[in-house]
Amino acid sequence: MIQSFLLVGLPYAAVLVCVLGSIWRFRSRRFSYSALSSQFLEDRQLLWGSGPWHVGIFLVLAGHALAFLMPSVWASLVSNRAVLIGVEVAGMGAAILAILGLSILTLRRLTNGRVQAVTTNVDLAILGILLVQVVLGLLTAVLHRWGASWSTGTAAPYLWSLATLRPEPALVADLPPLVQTHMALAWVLLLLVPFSRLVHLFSLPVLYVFRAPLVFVWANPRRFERATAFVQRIEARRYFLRASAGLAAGGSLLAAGTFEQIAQFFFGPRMSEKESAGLMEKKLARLEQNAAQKKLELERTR
Amino acid sequence: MDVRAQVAMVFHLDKCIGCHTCSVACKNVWTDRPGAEYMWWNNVETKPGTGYPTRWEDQERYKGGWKVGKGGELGLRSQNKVDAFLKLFYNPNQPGLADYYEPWTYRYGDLFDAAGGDDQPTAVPISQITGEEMKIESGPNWDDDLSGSPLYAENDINLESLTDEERAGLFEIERISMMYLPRICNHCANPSCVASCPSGALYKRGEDGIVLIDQDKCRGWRACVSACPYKKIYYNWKTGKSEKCILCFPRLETGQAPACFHSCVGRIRYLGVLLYDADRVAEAGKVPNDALVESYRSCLLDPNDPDVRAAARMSGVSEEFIVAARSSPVWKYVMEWKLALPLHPEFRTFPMLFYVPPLMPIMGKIEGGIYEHDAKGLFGDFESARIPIQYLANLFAAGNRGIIEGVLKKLIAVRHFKRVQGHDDVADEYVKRLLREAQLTPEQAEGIYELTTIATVQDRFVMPPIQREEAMPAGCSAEECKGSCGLGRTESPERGG
Ligand code: HEM
Ligand code: SF4
Repeated sequence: MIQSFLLVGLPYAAVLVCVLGSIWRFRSRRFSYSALSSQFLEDRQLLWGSGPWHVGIFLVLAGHALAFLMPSVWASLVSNRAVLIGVEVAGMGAAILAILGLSILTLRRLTNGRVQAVTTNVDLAILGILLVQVVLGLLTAVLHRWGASWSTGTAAPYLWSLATLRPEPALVADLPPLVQTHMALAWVLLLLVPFSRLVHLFSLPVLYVFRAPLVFVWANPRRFERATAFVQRIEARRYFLRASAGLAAGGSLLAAGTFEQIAQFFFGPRMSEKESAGLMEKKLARLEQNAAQKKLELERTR
Repeated sequence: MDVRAQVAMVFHLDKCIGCHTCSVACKNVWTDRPGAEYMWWNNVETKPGTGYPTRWEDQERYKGGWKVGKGGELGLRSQNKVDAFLKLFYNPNQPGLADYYEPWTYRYGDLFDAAGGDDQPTAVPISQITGEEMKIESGPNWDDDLSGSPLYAENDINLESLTDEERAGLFEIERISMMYLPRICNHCANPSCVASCPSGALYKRGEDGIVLIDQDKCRGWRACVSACPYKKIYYNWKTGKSEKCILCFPRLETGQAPACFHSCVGRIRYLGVLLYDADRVAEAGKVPNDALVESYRSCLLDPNDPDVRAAARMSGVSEEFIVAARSSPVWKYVMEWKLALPLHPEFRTFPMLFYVPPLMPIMGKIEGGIYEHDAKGLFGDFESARIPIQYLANLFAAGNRGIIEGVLKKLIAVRHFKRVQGHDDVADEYVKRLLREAQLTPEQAEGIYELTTIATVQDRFVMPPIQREEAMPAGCSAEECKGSCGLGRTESPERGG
């Protein structure tokens, strides 16, 4: 019972709370979205803590994401022993880096008076849980060797089963308790995202790359009404580009789907004669059943 | 031509007495809040001196403003589109608490609660960050009036290109030669802070050019803090958001001058509209240092020219702004008389706050401990100014001495022009020559005199109605907004968890 909650209920609850909670916070308490930097108050320890932590956790999360998003690619990668060893070593290295950084950050939060002045209980809880979580991950890697490989048959399909709304907890039900705890804690972290500083993950300012250097905000509609043809042309062009980008994105998604269907039709896997005969037989049986049913109905109505 | 209007400013340094009334007015209105105690949106520095935060002018260290790249393009000194992302995690150019000071208050309760004894009780200073007892080691005006001190003034970066002789002259009279430099955000026409913000939270208001930070969009990445070469953006350590001078826009919108302007005892501050060509601003910043002041002047448009007015209307500038631009005191100081200059134009942000440099000629020398007045003429010779021309040029003209000389000539000419009207210790011919050399007509000299000395509030602050009511729905009710932090928000400014 508890296990099925941890393996099915908790994940869905966590994702739901994370998504809805973050949206709620963004809509009603937008001011509270911030990385909450404390570099102003303390600078050296932060460099040696935040740097390694973020580098480490990025690498680790990138590994996790790759294994989940492209399971077949990942599986074929780690089937090569050299690659597998490389991946494991890199993963452990990144985890150690993250643990070092996180330890410094935690110590800093606990000992520096100025940083303490801006430390909330949630900050400490997040740091603690993250520390336990990364340590558990590292322990898994050490005690249950070759996780990069065995996870392809367990954790990855389990996550996919969750994502496709056909949960199969059996896939991971008999993994060791250490691994189970690691998974459960991950959901807890996700659950806490909207209520902690971790919302800064959603603030990564990607659009900065595409932005013009200066930002002007016109509160007054007069600008557009009276603006010269030149200004209007520029603004019209910007709207046009934005709309085209949207249309292009939608169009390419559609096209990709269509192409996939066409490709499936021509190049997709063919059925052997036996298989198509079997399929035909099934269809026939269903038709016969239908016909029998219809006959019965007809008789009844008469 | 894309004409934009800007609410621009002039500070007349000859009149600044360094009383800090402006700073206190601003502090009381805007930054008397947790997390903002150390922020001085308006501060007054003693020059020579290191300023606030310490050595803010040193862009090797803080990397503020723009620089001209190898290909001649204008780029931010602090970041480009790629390393901006690395600097999210740790910003190597961000000033820390030590570069400002640890804000403090006193435990006044000690005065009442102290046990009886032979000594006077004292109120112990406590940190406004940690609440613990602390030793006060620096403050917002720590080097106030300390020109000449080896600890502070010697470290002024603008002294670097001065000769030994010039330095000696500057620090001769009991080490008290100095000037005051009041500073607020310049509301630049090409603001590097806006360009640096990863979240796009900083913006210039289209109608009046005021530079603001959208507190709901700011994510606390601190890029703007290092990108502003004037260090006029402060990180609120409590809310995790950056803040800056808002030119008291709520006051402007209700027809009042900003608090620092209004409270200025020396009446050194002027506010008025400038029209400029937004299409040319970026280009104008690409010229060599020497030519920068002229280059920026060439972007400003004459509101008395009917073509300019027509173009302004076409670009959506309101009629009221155009009218205000025609009687703008800023236009007079900056363009008509060419007396007011931008602070550190070499940062290339095109500041919209201009300074009239102070006139401080050497009138005498100390010999054997006795000060002798030995200057020729009434006001001495501006070339042997107490504050060296090179120093002023480093501050206000990117090193171009010619521009400073032009201004000082005018200031001296106006003084003689008025002297001759009431006294007979200067020759008429001499005054005429001075005016001619300074390229001033008598009418202009009279105009400078009037606006400098006897101008009324209405002459000094020529503000158009900002007409926000046209564009904005009438925000929240007064009861609801009461107590919110006053940055145009209704959500209480609480720190996120
Ligand atoms: C999306 C990319 C990310 C960016 C841009 C980012 C940026 C930042 C910044 C600017 C800070 C404040 C550092 C300071 O005090 O100056 C911070 C702190 C922190 N970040 Fe991230 N981060 C990212 C991803 C992550 C991830 C994936 C995690 C973990 C799941 C994480 C966990 C933390 C934690 C726990 C802190 C608090 C450190 C402390 O105690 O001060 N971050 N991050
Ligand atoms: S002075 Fe003001 S507008 Fe200019 S860069 Fe600094 S904060 Fe931005």
